[in-house]
Amino acid sequence: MEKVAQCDTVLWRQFQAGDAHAFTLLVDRYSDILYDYGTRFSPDGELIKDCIQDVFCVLWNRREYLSEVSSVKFYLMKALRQRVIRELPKWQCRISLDQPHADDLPFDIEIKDDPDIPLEIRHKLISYIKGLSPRQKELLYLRFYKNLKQEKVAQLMGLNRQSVYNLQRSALLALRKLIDYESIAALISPSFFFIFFHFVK
Amino acid sequence: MEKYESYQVADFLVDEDFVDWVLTPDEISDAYWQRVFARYPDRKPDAEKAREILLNIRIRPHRTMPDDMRERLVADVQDHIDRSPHRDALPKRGILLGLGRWAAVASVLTFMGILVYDKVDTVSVQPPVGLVIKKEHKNQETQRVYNTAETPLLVPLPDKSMVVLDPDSYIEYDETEFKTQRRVYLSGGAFFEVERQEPHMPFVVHTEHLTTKVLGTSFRIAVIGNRSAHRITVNTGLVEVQSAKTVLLVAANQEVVYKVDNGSLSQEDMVEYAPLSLEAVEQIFDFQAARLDTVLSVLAERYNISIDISNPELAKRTITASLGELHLYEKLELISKAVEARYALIDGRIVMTPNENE
Repeated sequence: MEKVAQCDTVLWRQFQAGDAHAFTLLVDRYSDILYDYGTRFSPDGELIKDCIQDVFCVLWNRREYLSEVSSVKFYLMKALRQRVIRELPKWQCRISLDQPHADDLPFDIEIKDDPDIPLEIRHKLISYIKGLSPRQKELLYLRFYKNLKQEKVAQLMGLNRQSVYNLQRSALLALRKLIDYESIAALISPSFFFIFFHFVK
Repeated sequence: MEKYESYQVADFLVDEDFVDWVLTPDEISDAYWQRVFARYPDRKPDAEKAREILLNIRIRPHRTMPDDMRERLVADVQDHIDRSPHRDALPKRGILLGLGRWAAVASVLTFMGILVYDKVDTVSVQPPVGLVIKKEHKNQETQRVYNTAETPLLVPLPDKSMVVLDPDSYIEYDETEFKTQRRVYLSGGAFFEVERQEPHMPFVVHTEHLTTKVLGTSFRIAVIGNRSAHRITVNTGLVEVQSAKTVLLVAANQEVVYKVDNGSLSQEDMVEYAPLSLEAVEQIFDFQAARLDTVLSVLAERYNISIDISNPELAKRTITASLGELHLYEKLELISKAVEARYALIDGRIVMTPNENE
């Protein structure tokens, strides 16, 4: 299907005016991004699809009453996160009787399947990720994959800026402990690494 | 800046300014870090290593939605749209009143120093951006300030409160009455920053259907759709909103919507922090040895107003200050003092000029 490269702002305004076609373009444009983010909270694809659908349907109902939006992507991600927080506990078997807390909300990230990454490093990175809390993982995702500014990450996760700063600090310091930087830097220049590797051997 | 002298790779990695710059560079941060490395060139190698690490944190990207799932998603949403009442594209609002209706004196408002409302009797040569009409009615003197431009207009009030008036909107108030009773009539949309007044004098904004009462706070009133609804968003403080049938208390980062057809007034969840709430501006208005032009451009962007600096040398003067909780005019006062300048409100925009040298 040919995609017309239309500016989000234009589509958004058209959608607010009741243009259904513009709206379905927005749905199509953002479904992957939302799916990628949503499935990190739960591997249940169908549940996430339902949450995404709810987000868009509510959006359509309230199109005339929406505030001005500076970033459609950010707005949708935040709306999805709020909905997932509400929906997920309904479908999970909880052993404890405590109320589900937003902090407990799981989050999943993986290391890229890159042949350039030596196995030893890869294993270290995997165990590094295992040791991170869900919120630390979500922070890495939003900061280093989505490249959101700290302020935006704070708004999205419902935290204050200091908490975000602390999360990032703790996540990166944990990375430092697990892996020495020389070998990571070597990743970038493979030739350097081979020399280093042989030298160590 | 001295801290960078002993920075190593790990220090760069946890420095939020550095990380922000590597991930989302812009002109301001580029210039800043150029200065840092000009001053401490031996830190460059460690910074480079940190930068490479940051850029190479590889999270496996892109779980795409399976095609059949996306088809179902689009179909289900389309279904929902078809089943709901569906409006055609709304007609454009054509509101501008013909100037012929306002056969009155239009005066340009010029201010120096403190943002105090002061009348100036000169008639401007250019057509004024904020059309001010004075209506004499019985013994009262009502001011109506009408924004005829396409950009927002900054309007000060006699009590040092401040209004950023949307295009095609106007406010109306009685200047003498304002000392004992702060009342404003608004048609259209505007952002208000209201000063606390001793002894507790409330500030009241009347619009076509609603009355909004505050003690000291900042909030925005907007007209939505084709005037089918009105929305009030509170940035800081507490506001009481009253319609014909309902009274609601609205706090910071909350908003209410009034629907004209059924007269309902209800609270809405906000997805983002309100633009000038304390949470949203936390650290936005913290400046460390920042240039005046940078500081003023942040202000202009956040308040959606125009600010000009008359003098390029003035633009380079630097400021260190934490301005987040202050109202706009307080921010301007502090900034002017810091750079030895003065600010003036001309035609609804701020202009900053250096103090005269002795």
